[in-house]
Amino acid sequence: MNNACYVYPGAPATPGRVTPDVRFRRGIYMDGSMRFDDGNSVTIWGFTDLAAGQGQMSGGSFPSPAMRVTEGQIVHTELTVNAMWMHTIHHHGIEPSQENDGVGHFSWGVTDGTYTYQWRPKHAGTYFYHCPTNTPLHAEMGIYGGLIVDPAPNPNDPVGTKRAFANGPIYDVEAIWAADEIDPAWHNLQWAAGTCGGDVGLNNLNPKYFIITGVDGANSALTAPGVAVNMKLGQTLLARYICAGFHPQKIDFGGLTVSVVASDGRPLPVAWQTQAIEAHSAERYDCIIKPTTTGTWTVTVQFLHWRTGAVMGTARTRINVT
Amino acid sequence: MQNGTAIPTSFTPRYFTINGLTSLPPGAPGHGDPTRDALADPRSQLSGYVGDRTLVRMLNAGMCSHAMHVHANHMEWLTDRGSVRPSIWKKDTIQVRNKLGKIDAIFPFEAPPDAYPPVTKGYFPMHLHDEMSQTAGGGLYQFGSATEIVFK
Repeated sequence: MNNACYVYPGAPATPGRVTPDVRFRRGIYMDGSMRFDDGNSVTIWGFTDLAAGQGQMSGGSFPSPAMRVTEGQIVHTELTVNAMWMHTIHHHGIEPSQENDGVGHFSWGVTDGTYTYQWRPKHAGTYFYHCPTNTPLHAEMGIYGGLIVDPAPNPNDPVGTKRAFANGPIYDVEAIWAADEIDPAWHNLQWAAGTCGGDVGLNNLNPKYFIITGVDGANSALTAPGVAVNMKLGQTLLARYICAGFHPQKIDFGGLTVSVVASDGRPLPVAWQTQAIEAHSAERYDCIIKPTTTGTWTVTVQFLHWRTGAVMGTARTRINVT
Repeated sequence: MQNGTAIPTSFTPRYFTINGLTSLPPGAPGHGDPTRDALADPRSQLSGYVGDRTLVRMLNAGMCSHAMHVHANHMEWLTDRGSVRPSIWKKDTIQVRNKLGKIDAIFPFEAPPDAYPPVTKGYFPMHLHDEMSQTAGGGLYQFGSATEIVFK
């Protein structure tokens, strides 16, 4: 902790702790990498999934493993961090008690121990989780993952029916598109860089790469499994779009009209029909897409400079309907 | 700055404020001083009891677009750039655009919905989620544009 200032170490007992319905066990890796279509790569950090056999300090995926829970469940997110580092988890859009919100200066940052975040999601929808320690750096380094809250099953629905929210639209196919920008100049810093003062450039993000859910949007995301969508005519797609970068974005669905049914984990009073969405950092939009013909549509995310509005770059994926 | 004025390309902001102050985290000189610390500034801080529905008027006086993010509750988004929105969306993050963008929203001061056990009190942040804005002079995370939400 010699090079860290304004950090608030702790890993106390969870207030009011009970037996959970769902439990996630997360470690931290800071030795990952992402390779881009041009052959270059950058260092990536993230959460590991201890329950899946990933290491406590190494070996995680990017983005971090998604969490999936059902509304009303009591959830435990256990975060274990070694004595050299400090990290926390904020479940963005989830609104728990102060102690379980994961913001260091309002609670603590986890180091040399384990803290268990206890929460019970009330509203189905699209969220994400990330580390709010030295947030500009840690989020840019990739310490985030998707968080999906499903509605409680409707007893009148056939088994296996998937809905966006209680009594909401039914879908067959799902995509999670977390659109993010990468500035390689930020990817060589230590975890507490700048916290004691000094200019490490965290006010100035000049991205060179533009990605969708951990895949380079230059070319790879056009066909990458888990990003590009392959569906049958007649099926319904729920595309969960997460604005995971820091600059504003505009997502265009390539001529498809989408029905935006929810945003930020709340249903819209009236679904919004649109062919494009402008969003800013951390917003989420749940889009129902029902193509009426076979074909291929290219979905394009433009990354807009927060000051000039200029398009800094684009990331693309596809919806293939057969 | 007139609405529509071209933004110079040479401008790179290094400091970020809310009502003229930056946040000063615990341990920093001035932390908790309402005349110095945006977390404690009564012009910025949201403070209330459960049920104290609070109208928040957010104006972008700077050159960058921002993502206004609240913890603990979703906001009820009423207006955007002077126009009443056709329906009220509940949002945890709302964009307030540059070139004098403005939004109005209700912070409802409902008990944080996802707490277990339930709570009615606590301290939470409101901050900009374009995280470059949470710094000062290129570093010093937590010395940027943020304030506090107090459930009394």
